[in-house]
Amino acid sequence: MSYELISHTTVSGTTTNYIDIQSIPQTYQDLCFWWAGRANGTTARNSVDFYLRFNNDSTTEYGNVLQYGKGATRYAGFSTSGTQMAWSGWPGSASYSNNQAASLFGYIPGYRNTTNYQGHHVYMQAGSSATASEGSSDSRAGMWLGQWHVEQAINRIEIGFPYETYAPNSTFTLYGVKNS
Amino acid sequence: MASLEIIAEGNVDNDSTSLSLTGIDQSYEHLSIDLNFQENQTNYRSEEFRVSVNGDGLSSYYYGGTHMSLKNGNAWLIQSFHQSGYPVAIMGFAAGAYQNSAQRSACRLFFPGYSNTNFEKSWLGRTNSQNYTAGDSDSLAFSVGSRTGTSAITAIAIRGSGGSNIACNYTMYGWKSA
Repeated sequence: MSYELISHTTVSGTTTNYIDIQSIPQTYQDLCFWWAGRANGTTARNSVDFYLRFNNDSTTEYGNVLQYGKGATRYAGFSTSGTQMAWSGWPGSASYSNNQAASLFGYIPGYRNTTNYQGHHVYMQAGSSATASEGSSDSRAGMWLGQWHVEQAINRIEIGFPYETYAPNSTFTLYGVKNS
Repeated sequence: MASLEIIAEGNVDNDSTSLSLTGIDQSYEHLSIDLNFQENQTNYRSEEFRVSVNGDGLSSYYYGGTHMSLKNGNAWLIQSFHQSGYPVAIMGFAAGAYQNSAQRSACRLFFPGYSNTNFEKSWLGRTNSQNYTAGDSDSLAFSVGSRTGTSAITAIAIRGSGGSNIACNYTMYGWKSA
């Protein structure tokens, strides 16, 4: 098994809502990605929406299962029939100060598979952390499983903030995993 | 061309209280580290699994983080922290030698964008261990840590509670972005 770089994106400026990776090669077994960044705005950290969307599909075919710790409390839940894969409030913003930093690691097994009858699943581990007292209560870490309930090969990934913009220098790196 | 390469691998065999990785190659975009880890203490089934970077000394930087952890047969423990004068990130819990002198935890750390100098750093962790004769010695944790400043991460220290030596096998990987 080997990993090959497909794309690496660094956000410049303050006008980007989504990092948009199109024409993903259909030659790998799985996909794997790293995301680092946060929102640029001053919307409260815990209310920044963060979405993934595949193949430009905005129909109600997305679901989520989440379990995470925030502050001193554990949260768990699920959602169905969403128009994006979403974990709101997770990545943080520039609220209060710029000291929020967020990370996401994701894996998409069988992204070309069109015959598994459950669409596609994305396994993700995410966390965001503030190093100042006013942000610490919004730091969070946990697991996120997303589902796109469509039997299409994934050829496009949009990831970002529908109502905010990226902070400059946020990054997204996409790898293809080869079965050889 | 492969974009994932091994930067370092090795073993710590109860002769140090920490694994110290220094002079980390700055030519990759991301880092990940896999370990099987034990703190060689017999007082607790598991102890804190801690990370610090760049040789930070006392009061040098602020650290922050959150972990959600299962340990000692208890309910989920959720903790968030921010602190100076104590420059470590608590990345959950890892096995001690309380129940079994050979028990270790499987641990993985992710350091996205470790080599860039234009963004605050945060890193992810997960740990788990299982003892097949005592369920209350099992543990599981998901965590995030961060540190003030935008410096590249050039050194990483991994330890337990700090009071005892550790044992681990480790592999550090570099992930390319070009």
